[in-house]
Amino acid sequence: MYLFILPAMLIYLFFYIYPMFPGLYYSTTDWNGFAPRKNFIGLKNYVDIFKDAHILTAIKNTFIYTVVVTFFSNLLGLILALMLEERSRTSRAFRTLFFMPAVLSPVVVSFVWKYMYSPNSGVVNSLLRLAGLNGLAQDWLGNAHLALPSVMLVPLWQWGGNVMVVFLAGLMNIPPEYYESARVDGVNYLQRFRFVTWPLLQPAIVFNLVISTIGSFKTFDFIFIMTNGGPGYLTEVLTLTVYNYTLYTAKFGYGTAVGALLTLFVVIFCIVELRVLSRNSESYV
Amino acid sequence: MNDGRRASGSRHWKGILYAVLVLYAMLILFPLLIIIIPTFQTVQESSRGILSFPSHFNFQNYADAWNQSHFLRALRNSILITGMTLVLNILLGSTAAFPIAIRPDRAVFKVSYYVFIVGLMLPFQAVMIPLYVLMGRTLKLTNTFPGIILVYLAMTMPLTVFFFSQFIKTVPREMEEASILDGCGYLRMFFQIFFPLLKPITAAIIIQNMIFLWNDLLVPLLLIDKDILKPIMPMVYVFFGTYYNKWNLAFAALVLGALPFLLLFLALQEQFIKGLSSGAVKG
Repeated sequence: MYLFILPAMLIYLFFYIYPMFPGLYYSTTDWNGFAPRKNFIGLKNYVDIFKDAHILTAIKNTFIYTVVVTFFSNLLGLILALMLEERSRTSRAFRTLFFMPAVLSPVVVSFVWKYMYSPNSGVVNSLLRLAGLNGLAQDWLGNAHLALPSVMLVPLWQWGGNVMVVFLAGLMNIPPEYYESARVDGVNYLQRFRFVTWPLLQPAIVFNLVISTIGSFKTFDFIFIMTNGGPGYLTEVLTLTVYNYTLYTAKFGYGTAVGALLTLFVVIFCIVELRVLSRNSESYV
Repeated sequence: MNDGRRASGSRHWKGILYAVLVLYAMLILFPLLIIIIPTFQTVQESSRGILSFPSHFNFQNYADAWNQSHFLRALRNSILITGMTLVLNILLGSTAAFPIAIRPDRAVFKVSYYVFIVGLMLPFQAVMIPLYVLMGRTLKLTNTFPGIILVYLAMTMPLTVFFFSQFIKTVPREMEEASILDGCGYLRMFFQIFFPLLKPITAAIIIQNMIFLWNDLLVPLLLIDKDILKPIMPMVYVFFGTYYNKWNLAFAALVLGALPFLLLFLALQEQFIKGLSSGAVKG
């Protein structure tokens, strides 16, 4: 029986878990990736991170992005699911259509939207000009105030349908008798949502929130392709910082420290989220 | 009378509901359709801007993008990498999940389970630099298919083991007892009795992992820099960067890159949607 687990475990440990340990070691050195010597410098990298304005911006952006994208993609997905709850051919067609962007590569989606947003030939601005709203035409990804919001719209467009699908599965799992007795009691739609649908949807809500949180913390392709962190560092996120310290400025020691910090954020955020959510669902029972 | 009022009220709501749905459908479709226009434009037409419709279907951009990006080669690489990873992932993942699911009280298997689950949270960037050193310098596995497949196997294993073990737990225990009476070894017991029962969850796992593997950019960007080994997404990324000012060509490559998977989705849409929602709701 032990042999069953062995091949999967070995590959997983060696290629995914084991590298974390040399990683933690690198993060306490000044290694640039090429020098034969790695000088131990203790926690200096970690201290420096919190003095580095550029990384502080990336941390701030990572948190803004995660909170905003997680919240709005779940809200959007829930509304879509509630609208398509009915089993019919039309709602099935809408479901397929809304879900479609989720199977596209973020690479494709990013290029499409980069092009939509581009200041001169871009579709968004062309349409605004066509509608006579020249004043609203913007350099969406180049404007300091609009760049991050413009980027954050794209994951909502791509993954709203994905969140919807999970909520739909949750809705299908609610026994029809509950709705039937709610109807007999003569409750209106909002009351039914508040007292029947919402509490019984808890597993799907927890799943969606945790998955979106992890996914948003790990976001890379959208920002890498659409803005590459610009203008300045205004849309930089931690994943992009680590990437740049690997393949551009080879600061492996510093880069691994940023990677370790990102991991810490994900783990803490998820644990807190699970704690809060499971406390809530208990109070419903 | 009361009923009549309620019916007309609900018809009213239905109208608004459909209007909202159609509006959102347009929002989803519009960016996808708008990038098709320039791919059929000739160079002269494209100078008149993006919204000028081409006079006829001109496939020259597609032919050029196909040839210049070595599309077939990239497609073959994508199929090889994704396919090999999926086969091994299902084989190794399901066997690993088996003891975890049927002997959950044994400490070794309990610990193994948690070790796998930790991987669900771990961002790739946390191991990116040391992995790059390990693969490139120590093992010399960059620019090889086995290298990228091993890394992908490690990355997809947590989700696969998690879903398989959750599902195997729901298989009745009598199956196991019966097979022990028949004198099956564990290996035969798993492959002859349990594995065939895992079809629905296997389909779901394949689809989830396939979406990630086929569309991923970061891992090939890190581990493969030889053009002849690049799968589709990094190829599209590089091609797009090179031809950004010739966007008729760049978008044709983008459409080509998106098409194989989109067609697969349209052919298997029900399975896709079912696959992605399993795991959200237990049982």
